[in-house]
Amino acid sequence: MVPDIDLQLEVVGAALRNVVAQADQGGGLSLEQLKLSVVTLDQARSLMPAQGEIARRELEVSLRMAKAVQQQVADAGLDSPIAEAAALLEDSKAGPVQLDAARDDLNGAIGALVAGLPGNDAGRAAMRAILAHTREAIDIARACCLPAGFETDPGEVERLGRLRAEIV
Amino acid sequence: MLSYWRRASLTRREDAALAQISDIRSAPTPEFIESVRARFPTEAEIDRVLTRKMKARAGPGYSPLSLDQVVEGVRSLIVSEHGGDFAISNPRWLQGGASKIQIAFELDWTGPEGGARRTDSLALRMQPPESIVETSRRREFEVIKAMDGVIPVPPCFWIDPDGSHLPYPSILYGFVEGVSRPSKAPVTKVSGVGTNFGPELRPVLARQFVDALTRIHKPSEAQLAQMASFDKVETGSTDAMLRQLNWWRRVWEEDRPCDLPLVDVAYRWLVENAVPLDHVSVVHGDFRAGNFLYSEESQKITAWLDWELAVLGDRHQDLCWATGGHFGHYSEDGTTFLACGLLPAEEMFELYEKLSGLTVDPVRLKYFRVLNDFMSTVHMLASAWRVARLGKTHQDVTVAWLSMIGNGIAGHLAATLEEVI
Repeated sequence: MVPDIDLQLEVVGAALRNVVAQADQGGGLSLEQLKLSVVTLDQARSLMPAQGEIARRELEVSLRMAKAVQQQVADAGLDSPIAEAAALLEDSKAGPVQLDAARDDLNGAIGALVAGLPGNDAGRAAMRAILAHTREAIDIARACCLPAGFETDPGEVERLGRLRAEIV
Repeated sequence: MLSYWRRASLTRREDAALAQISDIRSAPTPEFIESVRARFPTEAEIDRVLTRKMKARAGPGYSPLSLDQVVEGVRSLIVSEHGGDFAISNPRWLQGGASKIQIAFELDWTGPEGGARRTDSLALRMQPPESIVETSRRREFEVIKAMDGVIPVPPCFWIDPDGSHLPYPSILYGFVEGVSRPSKAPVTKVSGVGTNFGPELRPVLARQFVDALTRIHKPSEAQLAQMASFDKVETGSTDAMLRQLNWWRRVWEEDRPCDLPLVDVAYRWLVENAVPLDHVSVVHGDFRAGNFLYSEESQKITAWLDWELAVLGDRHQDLCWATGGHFGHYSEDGTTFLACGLLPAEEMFELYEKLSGLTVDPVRLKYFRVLNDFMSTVHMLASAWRVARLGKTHQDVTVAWLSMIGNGIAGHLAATLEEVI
């Protein structure tokens, strides 16, 4: 899940207002939040121009996930959200809000199927498709969040760095 | 076993319709709260805490508290629990943790039993309007009391379980000297993530770390009897496991910003593959670097902290948590990964078996690897987002920053599930 830019800016404001500005809070907590506020702002600024690209890539992944699940499960009820997502991706003017809403519709429809999937090969194949495409979607978020420093595997840092360079 | 997730699936469509009413999770109706409770039955005390959270969800977020306000609440609590013969001095804010409001102060009094006049250093741990993990102060109080004398823990004095004296539920405990990371090392991470103790201190702390784990995992009947807010658990049963699964699946339903089908797959797999308990342990729930204090002079662990996620259950839950990738780092050779920055996971498991006489089962390790990643995904991608979005804590910027760890954890969860499905 790529961080919500509006949220990031809002929490920075709240931190500066409610904590840093409170002189009696003591140096440690204020200093930690001040540092985090600054790096959060830096991250928000670096990701802001890529919001459309991120939303488009995430919807593409969800669309591929939905199609893969549909291949395994008859009457999955995914026709409508798949058609809407595909049409939106054809529309070059579609913004991140619309793209994210279509992604949520698809993911919600897929998630609602999981509990009722049969325990046979087709059901397992559908779940494996969900997992594989989830990893693809999460890689986008991990790449976007790479500067936060939470990735510890040097090989993964290198791979995600290449992906980030494509997006941001 | 299947009935748990069948119950969930039967009403899911109905809840989905409810949830579409303009982010019902930010302003939940009584019907929404009750439907989620019914779908995911869990321990009684956990149910009480989560229901309280949802009923207060649409209420105010965090607003700054003055030190005087907090001290006044502390004073009221002590008067109520101990009487009025005491004095509070030197109150100050404390740093640490990503979820609780903490202050330290000196208490001049006659002690809990009423003896000679003395001065103790105390700390208050108070939850904000909502936390990244919504937990019970009552359970935290009981488990620390039960573990006193088993491993180093702070002495617990009083609780305000419902926020009757303080603005929010709180616990008062003795202040323990020590550091959670080398004081001279630069602070580059938050909340104990990736703490580097250095090659000399590492083996000294590693032995104490594993020894403490073995001790809490073998509680006596008397210690278990002190934990009245924990539902009873039985060996040979999966009931405790299913209650815990429902706890976090319920939180996902209450807090998430959007759907993530991975969570549905993980929950289904965890329910279908729940392993019967083979030995009842006190599971700390967040046993890792950053949650113990140690003396830099004596190199002894002085206290184990943050017991709020404790459950009665399977030791493998803590073993997996302590060896999770997000709490460790590579050693100086660049190839050896150190669990909690202390020792390689395999060495930790060998030492644990030797010290405890309990087995470390690879099948259970894999199950709890999935469970822990499932729980962390819920904490980071649902609760952290929700509490920051609603401005519920004094550390929203920290919580929002930490939520990014959730991406790597969710990726790991998906990868592990691909191995087993």
